[in-house]
Amino acid sequence: MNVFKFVSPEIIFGPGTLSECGLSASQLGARRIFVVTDKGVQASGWLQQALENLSDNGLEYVVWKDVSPNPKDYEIYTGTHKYIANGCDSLLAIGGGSPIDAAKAVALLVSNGGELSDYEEIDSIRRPLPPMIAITSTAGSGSEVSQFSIILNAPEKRKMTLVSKSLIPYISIHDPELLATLDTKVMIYSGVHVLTHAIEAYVSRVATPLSDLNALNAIKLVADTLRLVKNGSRSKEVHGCLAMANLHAGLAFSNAILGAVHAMTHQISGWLDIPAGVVDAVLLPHVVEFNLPANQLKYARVAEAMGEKVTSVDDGAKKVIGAFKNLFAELELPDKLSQLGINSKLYPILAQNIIRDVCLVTNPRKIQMNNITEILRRAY
Amino acid sequence: MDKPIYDQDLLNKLTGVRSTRLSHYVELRRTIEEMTKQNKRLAIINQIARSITVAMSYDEIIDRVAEPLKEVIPYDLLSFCLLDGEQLVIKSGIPREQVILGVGTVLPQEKSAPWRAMAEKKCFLRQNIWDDPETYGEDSELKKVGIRSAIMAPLLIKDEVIGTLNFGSKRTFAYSPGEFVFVQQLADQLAVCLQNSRLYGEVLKNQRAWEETFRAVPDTLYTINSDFAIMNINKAQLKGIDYRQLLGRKCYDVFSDDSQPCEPCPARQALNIGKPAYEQITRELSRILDVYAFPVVNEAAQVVGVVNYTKDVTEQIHMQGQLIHSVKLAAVGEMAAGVAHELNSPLTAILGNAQILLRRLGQEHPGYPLLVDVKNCGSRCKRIIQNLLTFSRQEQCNLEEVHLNQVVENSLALVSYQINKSNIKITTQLHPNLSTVLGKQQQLEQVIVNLLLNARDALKGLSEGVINVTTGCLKRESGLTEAFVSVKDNGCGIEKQHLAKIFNPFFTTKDISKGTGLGLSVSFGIAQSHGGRIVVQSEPGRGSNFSLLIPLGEKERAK
Ligand SMILES: Nc1ncnc2c1ncn2[C@@H]1O[C@H](COP(=O)(O)OP(=O)(O)O)[C@@H](O)[C@H]1O
Ligand SMILES: [Mg+2]
Repeated sequence: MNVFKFVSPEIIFGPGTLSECGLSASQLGARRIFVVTDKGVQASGWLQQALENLSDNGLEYVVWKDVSPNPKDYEIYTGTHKYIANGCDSLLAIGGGSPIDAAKAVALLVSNGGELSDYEEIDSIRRPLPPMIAITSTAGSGSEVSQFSIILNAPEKRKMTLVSKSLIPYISIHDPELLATLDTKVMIYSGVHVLTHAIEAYVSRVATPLSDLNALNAIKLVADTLRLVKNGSRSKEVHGCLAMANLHAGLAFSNAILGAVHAMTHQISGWLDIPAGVVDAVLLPHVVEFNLPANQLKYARVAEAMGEKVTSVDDGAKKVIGAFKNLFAELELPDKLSQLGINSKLYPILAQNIIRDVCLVTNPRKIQMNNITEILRRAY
Repeated sequence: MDKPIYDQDLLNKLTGVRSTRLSHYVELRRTIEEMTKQNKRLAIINQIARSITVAMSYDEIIDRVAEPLKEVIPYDLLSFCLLDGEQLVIKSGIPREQVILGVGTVLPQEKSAPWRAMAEKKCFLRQNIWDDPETYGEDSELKKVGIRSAIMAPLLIKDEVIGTLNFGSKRTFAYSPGEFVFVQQLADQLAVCLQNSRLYGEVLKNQRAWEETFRAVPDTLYTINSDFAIMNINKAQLKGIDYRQLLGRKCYDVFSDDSQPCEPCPARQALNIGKPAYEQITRELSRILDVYAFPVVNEAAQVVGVVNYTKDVTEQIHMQGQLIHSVKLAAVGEMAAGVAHELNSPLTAILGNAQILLRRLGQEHPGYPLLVDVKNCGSRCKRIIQNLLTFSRQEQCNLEEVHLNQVVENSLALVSYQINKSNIKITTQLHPNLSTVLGKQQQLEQVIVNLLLNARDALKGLSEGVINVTTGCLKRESGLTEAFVSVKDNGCGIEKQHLAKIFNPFFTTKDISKGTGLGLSVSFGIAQSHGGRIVVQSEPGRGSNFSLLIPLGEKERAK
């Protein structure tokens, strides 16, 4: 049996757990909290609720809500400055992947100094980060449980992936009620992103029995739930399932890492500034087609988890791409990159960035520059 | 530009069996350890600063720092060097008795690490001396004592380098740049201490040099405040009293046994007029002192005290007197010799003729007694002239056995005529078997002549004047026997205030035409040169008794 490690923050799951944030923070020793969020979360009212809870627990806070989707490096420097100027001692991120990633990057810089690019090498953080609580208000990024933070290097228009166990939040709060304010469309995009995470983690070269457990659970939960959402169901149960799928997927990919889809989506969604789930939906079938020979068994199980009747490994492997396509069609998602408004002339540049993405390392099949351009060409 | 994708190391880092979330606990521990160390170091610097005093020697200073430093910075060699002129010299070190690089070692300016720390005015670190491609002058010595790493900090006083503080260890990499702050702080503190100690030493040295100079002056130097209290004096002892006990006492009390300032007092003059003053003063035992008083003026131009310079000029003055006297005597002697010679021939004629006439006339002749008188007086004249000649030839005289009775007789022969002329009666009581003394006859006659003449002067104008000349022997308590001649008169006597001064040359109470003031001073000198003395008893209005005393016996005594 292979040696492995499984990382995770302390996890609080369940409806109403948003109001655990104050107690959690004070138990971490926080006094003056740097709250990172975005305008959307503020508009939804969840921010206010979280801040009240902080006050109820006698905690001070400073709110920084200027984080944009796909947070930019210069925003992080602004946030870092604000954190230091206000004498904060801890962080609370509330929102989707962007505020949480931004909070992680700020935490990194306030304790380690320097610039973000100094930490692009994996595990190059040298000093512990201040305590951080992440509250996910979406289902998709998985950042609230992961050791990753993705920040856009604005001058180079390139996503930087920061990886370190120290980037894992101390406490991760998963309150399904927060999904209530999520737009159905966004919820579907998020769900697709969760699905992609789960699949890539499952077939990853470094998948472990523990990460597999989480990955398969996520796949099972998310496929059915997304169909329900598409059909207009926004019940507490639906929200709970999605939140749970997100948690599972997050734990899976945080430990087993991802693959080529994620690497490509990273770059494309960053470039176009569009939701990752949409790009995932276009790329996933093409990448799986390329990867399939590497691990037929696991892809067969994916097909099974997605509700396909699978009789054998071959059968499953044959059915898996169809399963994706059917689901995405049902969800009315685009299936061509050209539909997203991307210019194929950009492919060389995108490919350059993709090949540098750390997620390629764990892709089940060895993938090279020509493979990437071929996949992009097919997906166009 | 494909990079190896399936990099196992990368995977390990990602999936992280080998990587772990960093813990604040560990960081805190490290921070606390660092702070504890810093605190300890600060405490040590404080403790060092407090325990070092200016009066400490370099060795004492290094002893103070050696122990506490061991707790916070390891070392096998600890030393400091100071700039001595152009040279950088090791002044103290631990281990104490080390010979190599020991105290006094001069570090070559050419290429030495301490010099470099001085030039750069910052800590200089050597992590691995034995394998350092950069070599320094002291390296071979360091090797001998096994030192492999060292840190040197400049000793700075307000940006001026006075030396270096050096730590050496037998381990390589014993020190790191992290130590710079502490070592420099320590060096800064030590620099102040060392500088103070150095300055203190200099002040002390200067003060000592001054004190030694002050004390080396043979004359008495002392300062008084405006109340005549002694503030400082250059004699370790005065009249058998330790100088420390003299401080604060009034100068007139100490020097004149008086309850008020002396008269005259140059110090008072200096205090009053603010200008130097001078007086010649005679104090006890006829010592003649030149006293100079120099006022001490404060910033406000007030006279706050006086520096007194007292020079004993007794001998000098006596010598002067003797010189003058002997010059005079020589002139007189020469003249007397001439006169005597001139008188000799007529006197011979007078005496011869008188004898012829006496024989021819016979006793019955009525002129015979007159002629006898002529002959007697002529003989007497001849004797006087003989005496005068002898007396004036004194410079050739030698030490001989002298009979004091003879001295008295010769002296009386010289002057009794003059004395009788003044209606003064001379009586003598001469000791019949007085031992001789070793001396110069003429000089002793000179003393007695002086005493006789003074007695005559003291009896001038008195009707019943008597001079009594006595000789004899006295045994003193010390066992010493002295022969004496005393000349006693019942004349005017001597006023008390004059008594101390009569032996001073040129002191006289007589008319300028009569007195020279040299008689007694010369006599005193002669008595002294015979190992003897002159003592006086006198009562104003009743008379005086002057005695010349010369010790008997051992010949050396009468040099
Ligand atoms: N026998 C004496 N009686 C009184 N006064 C004397 C006698 N002998 C000396 N003196 C005092 O001592 C002084 C000094 O004597 P001296 O030295 O012989 O000098 P001078 O006879 O020329 O005055 C005299 O002027 C006198 O005042
Ligand atoms: Mg005289």
